[in-house]
Amino acid sequence: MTTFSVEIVPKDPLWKIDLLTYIIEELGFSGVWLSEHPHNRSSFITASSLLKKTSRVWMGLGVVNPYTINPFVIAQLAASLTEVAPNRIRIAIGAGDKTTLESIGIERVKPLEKIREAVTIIRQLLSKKKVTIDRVHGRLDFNPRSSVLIYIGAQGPKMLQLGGEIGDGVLANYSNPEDLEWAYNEVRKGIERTGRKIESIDIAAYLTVSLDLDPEKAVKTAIPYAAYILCGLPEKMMERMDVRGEKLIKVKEAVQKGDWLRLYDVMDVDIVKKLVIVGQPRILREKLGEIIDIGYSQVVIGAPIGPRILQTLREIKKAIDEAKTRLCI
Amino acid sequence: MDVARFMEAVKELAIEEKHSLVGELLDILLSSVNLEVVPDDVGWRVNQAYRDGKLIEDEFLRELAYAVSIAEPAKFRRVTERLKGEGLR
Repeated sequence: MTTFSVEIVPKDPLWKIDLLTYIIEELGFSGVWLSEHPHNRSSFITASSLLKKTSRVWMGLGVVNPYTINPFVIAQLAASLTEVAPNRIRIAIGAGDKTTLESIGIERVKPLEKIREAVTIIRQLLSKKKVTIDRVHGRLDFNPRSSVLIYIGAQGPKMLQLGGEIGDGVLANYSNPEDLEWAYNEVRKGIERTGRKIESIDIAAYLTVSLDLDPEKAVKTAIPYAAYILCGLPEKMMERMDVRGEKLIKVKEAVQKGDWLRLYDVMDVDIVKKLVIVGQPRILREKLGEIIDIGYSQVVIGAPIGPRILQTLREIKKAIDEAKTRLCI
Repeated sequence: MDVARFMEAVKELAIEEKHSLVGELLDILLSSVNLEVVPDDVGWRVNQAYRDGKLIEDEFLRELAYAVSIAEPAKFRRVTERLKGEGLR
């Protein structure tokens, strides 16, 4: 069965995030992914507040980055949240994008090893086990109140495979069904290495969505998000999209400087359409069926969602309900 | 001042129109990228009023209108002008 969740970026005041979460729960979505980024509010502290005022939706923290938060501390934070809301906590671990990490003085070294080690440490600590890995040793001095699903946030082929190998779930950060099919097959390779069944892990299509009845407004809203995704794409993906050379440098410069106005000049609409589900709500209706057919067990409706958030969320819910009826899921 | 004019124009509306207006204002507010200018206490009162189904009441509609007027002044002016125009017909 496919489940549906919504991403909230905690860059807005807590009163808004809290209300949006309440509405998302009211609309019947299964969960909320709170994105984690050093420039925004802390996803863990935000979740601690939101979980107290909701009763059903699970909350995913992610993608949490072990370069910026020590894995031992990630386990401590996740375990603390299980006391606030048992059985409603998930975390996604990922290596983040090089540009952001460099901007805060962190070198992104050996990301695959880093993620594998982080997941091992976090999983052992959450299972009440003592960790003894290289220089890391110790245990939590309190009991997590429930289990916590650990997802791997991934874009590149090796990270997607690692997700299939060690994750309870994978967040595949693509929006185009063609890219999502490729990503799904990479996750499958990792799963096959371990002998696990594909149904045993939750493979999520983490979509970037910007919808509005006015397609131009939808594109305008999507541009900063598309640029950010573009900067973190694996080289092979950039080649597939034919984004190279001077154009890419200009986009990277604008992202690094946070010069969003410049981005509107340097980003091609065609590239935005490859990276984001953008346009009128019917576009999502068309793509949902394809994404579910690939085999994804979760669809995340990722930010920005659209220039008119409430209207768009209601349209998305209608599209999901239609897809569920059509596909008998 | 704008909020007072808005509240004056709202008086003329039927209940269904008022519901639709509340939905429109809330969408403008939650879609705004300028929410840091809205005082947190105002935001929380709007939040609680939505949860309690009371946003349509004058006391809370005024709070919502105030929040929209400072986060999205141009959009708020357009809504107020439209209401005044509808009232004159």
